[in-house]
Amino acid sequence: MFWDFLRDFEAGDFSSWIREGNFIAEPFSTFYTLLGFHSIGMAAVVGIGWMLSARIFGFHQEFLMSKTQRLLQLAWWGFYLNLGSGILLLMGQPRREFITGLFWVKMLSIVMALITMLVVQKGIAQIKMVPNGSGKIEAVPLSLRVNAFLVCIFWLVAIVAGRLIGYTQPPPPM
Amino acid sequence: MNWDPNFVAENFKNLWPGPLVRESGWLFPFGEAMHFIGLCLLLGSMFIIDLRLMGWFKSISVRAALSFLPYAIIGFIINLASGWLFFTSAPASYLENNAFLLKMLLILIAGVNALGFTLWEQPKVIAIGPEQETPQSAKIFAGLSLFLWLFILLLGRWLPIFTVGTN
Repeated sequence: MFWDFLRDFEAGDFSSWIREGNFIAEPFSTFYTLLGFHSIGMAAVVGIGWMLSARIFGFHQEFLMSKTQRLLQLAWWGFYLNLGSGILLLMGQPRREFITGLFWVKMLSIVMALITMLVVQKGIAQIKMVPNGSGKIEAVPLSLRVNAFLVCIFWLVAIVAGRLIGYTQPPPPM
Repeated sequence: MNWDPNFVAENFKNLWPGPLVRESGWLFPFGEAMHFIGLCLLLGSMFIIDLRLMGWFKSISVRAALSFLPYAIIGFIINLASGWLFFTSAPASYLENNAFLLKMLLILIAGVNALGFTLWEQPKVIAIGPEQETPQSAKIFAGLSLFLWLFILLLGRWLPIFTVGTN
């Protein structure tokens, strides 16, 4: 029944517009325009996530983590852009995505990346300055480093799985 | 020298790793995954550097922001290598694609912009500390850089729209 609903939805105007229509004007197809926005969102959330992880691992010590709130905000805006464009892309061919194992690997990786990002964000907010020689440095606990490593790995898996979805099966027939 | 587009494309087609990519079922998807990893490294670091120079993210020093530059260079090298892999697999289809040609032109402009910043602007801004304003010229270099890289990314995703259809 749910499958029938999805097939009817895919046959409808909105889903067809996402798959085959134009976004505002020709030749900018809705599908590829959404993919473009999806990539910008990915670059922001994953790229900034990786950069902050590098800082947490101990590189770029002059970059104070307590001052990264605006950067984290930008990473989250990147994710919202990803989420919005991703939902619309899913509405273009839901049946194909749902029967593709890599789609679920990607979804699971994204959920895990988001959970670990929230843990990292909370950990950054709790970082304290500790004396080090003549000055002070930000003390990064091991648990925060482990979570930062997991953020990197989960986003990496999500990217690779997302790219490989395009090489799996074609959409099921209407 | 023969500059006939078909002749040029045919020559590129025989360069490494073109024949290997065409025969392999996994090299192209592998290259795509690497291209995306590269662009996340490149843009992730450019967001930090360019936004700091533009004044949006003033809480850190310019030197601290610029310390992320090596990731941009690593990302660019990954993308250059994976991009070469795509190009040699079907050079004619890229050479006749206007989005690809524009993308290459914009990468060249972004490179010149980065070189200009390094030569003229970086010595002036490197000592700028947290909460301090950068000069207008640095903001222009950074704004142009971010705009170019985001547009380059979009053009990469739009290549299929402008594919003419031959190989």
